[in-house]
Amino acid sequence: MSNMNKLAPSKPKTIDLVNASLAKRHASEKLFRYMGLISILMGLMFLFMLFYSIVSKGYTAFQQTFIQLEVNFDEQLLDPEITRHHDVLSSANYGSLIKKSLSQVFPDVRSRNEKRLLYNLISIGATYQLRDMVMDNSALIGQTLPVWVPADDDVDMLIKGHTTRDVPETERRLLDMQISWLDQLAAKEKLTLKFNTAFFINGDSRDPELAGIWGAFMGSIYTLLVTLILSFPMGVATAVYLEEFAPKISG
Amino acid sequence: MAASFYFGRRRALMISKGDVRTLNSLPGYYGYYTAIWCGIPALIIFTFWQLFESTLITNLVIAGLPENVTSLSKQQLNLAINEIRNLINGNIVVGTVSPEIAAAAERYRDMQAISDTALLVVMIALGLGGASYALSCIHQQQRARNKVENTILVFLITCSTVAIFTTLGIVLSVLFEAILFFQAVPITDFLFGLEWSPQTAIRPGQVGASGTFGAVPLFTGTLLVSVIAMVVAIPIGLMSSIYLSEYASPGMRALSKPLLEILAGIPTVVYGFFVALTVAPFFRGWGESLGMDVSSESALAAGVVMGIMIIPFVSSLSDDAIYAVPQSLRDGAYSLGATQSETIRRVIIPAALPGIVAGILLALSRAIGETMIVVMAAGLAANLTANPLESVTTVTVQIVTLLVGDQEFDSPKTLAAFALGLVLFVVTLTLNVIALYVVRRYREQYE
Repeated sequence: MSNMNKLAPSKPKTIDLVNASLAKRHASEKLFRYMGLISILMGLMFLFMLFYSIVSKGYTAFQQTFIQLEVNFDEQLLDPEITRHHDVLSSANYGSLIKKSLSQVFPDVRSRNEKRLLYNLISIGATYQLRDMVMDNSALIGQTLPVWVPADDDVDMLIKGHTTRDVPETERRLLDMQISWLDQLAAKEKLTLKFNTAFFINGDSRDPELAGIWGAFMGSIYTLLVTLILSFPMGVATAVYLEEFAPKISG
Repeated sequence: MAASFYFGRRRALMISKGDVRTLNSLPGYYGYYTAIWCGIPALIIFTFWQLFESTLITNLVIAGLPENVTSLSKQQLNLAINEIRNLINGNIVVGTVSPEIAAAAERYRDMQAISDTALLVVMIALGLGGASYALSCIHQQQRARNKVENTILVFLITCSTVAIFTTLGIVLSVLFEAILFFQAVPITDFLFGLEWSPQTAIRPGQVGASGTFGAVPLFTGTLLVSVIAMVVAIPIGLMSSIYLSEYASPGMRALSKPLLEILAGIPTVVYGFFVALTVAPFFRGWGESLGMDVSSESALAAGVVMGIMIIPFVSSLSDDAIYAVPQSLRDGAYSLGATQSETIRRVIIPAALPGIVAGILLALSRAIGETMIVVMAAGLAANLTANPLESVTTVTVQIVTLLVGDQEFDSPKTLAAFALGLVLFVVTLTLNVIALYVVRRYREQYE
């Protein structure tokens, strides 16, 4: 380092050159580091955006609107000859029970059209629900019980907020009259959202409020089982062979 | 088989007269030897029996059918066989059953019963015969251990080659059907034609029946979507792997790496409707606010989400490559006064470059072959364009739409799917081979 003093003063010292460039190099180092951090954050942001968008659009599927009705399991309508026979109970007209119950709640609904609109508020699954109740326990016949039945999918969409009332009536699936009935039911606390167990128990259905994933789920399980049984032993055997027995091939 | 193991072991112990060291192998091996001789011949016969039983019985029953049935055309004969099978299984039969068919079904049932009993008898006989043969062979000097180990080795080799044979089978089946296609449509038309419109007439004189099978728009569509995916995935994947391996604290690395791997684990169908429901409308609205005409099935949306899916592939493969660079190179660079970013840019990336390039090529082959995202996000009409805001279709989408349709199986329209599949297979295979070659040739051997 002592030679440096003998050189012409205009020749820059190495250490000065290095010190001059340090600021720039540190800046580019910082930039590089931030770029790396940003890219990780972008990747994580994509992940959260994906989850958020799917969950926020789909979580309402776990709820279902139910309407409470006072159902009179009238013996005259279901089983007039008091046979309690399986076929008789199975083919009785349970829809009429629901219609009667609705008419009692809204006695001033007279005309045929209006009645049809009223009955459309309840899902068709309610009929099967009542049938299952009676088939399980025929002692119900003759009693009057409050039953929570699933509402139709149009009602469900309204209650969950997917369709709004601002849209003009002709562009909606539910008429103002139907909405006013629903409001009356809600005021009496006979309309509420409950956990949708049908989603996990039922199979496919053309009625959205009754559809479930059970069939598809079992299909997935069986496929996975077959795949596992076939591929796991074979994969492990191949790995054992390649690791232990096969001659070492270079490369 | 368990009984034969037990007896074999006992015999071996008896022979040794209490001193186990005089035996060549451990007593257990003699037991396994007996069990193998009992089980494997029976298993082989069982497999072959099951494979050929139904065809054999069907042929016998058909030969026994009266003349008027056997002289029917091939399709009607198949229908008759189906009727017989339905009768046997207790399924619903179409219309009334003719007496010959009913008699044939009875015969089938009888023969099935005979065959089942025969199978049981043969298997038991083989089992006992094999076991007694093995027992008689057991003596002091017998190399039971070698024989047992060899059997296991053969089993392992068979398992390993199953994968190879399966691949071969897939390739051959695609190849045969593609050859049928190229007999109907010349290969130059297919590879270089500019119009993709795969409609063939079901009835003569049907409107819209002219089909052209030029695949260039499909190739450009695939390329466009894949390039967009790579443009998204490579910078993010590479930079995040560099940051995670060089700069990040161990805690952050332990947290971020699994989260990024989750991106790879999400089912592609979920990505598909994420695109269709969220990303594509977003791009469309954004384009409209800027005054541009963005299709709701733009290549941009599909490409971006596909890139998101591929980020973990690029990231983990380049992470491995960077990790393999020895610490001595880094230490040398630091000792010369280089900053961390300069070390990475000038020393580590060039050293890890073959591995990174191989990783990118593998990710590219994944992007080209990806089906579900583009089926839900990209359009169906072939469009020869380089504008990412328009809707394009890819090779994989066309394969799906062609095979899910109603055309008969040997029309050129359906066979085109096999030709496309062959092209796809060749391209991804080439990419993978190139990736392997790059790694092998340019990889630095650090001891």
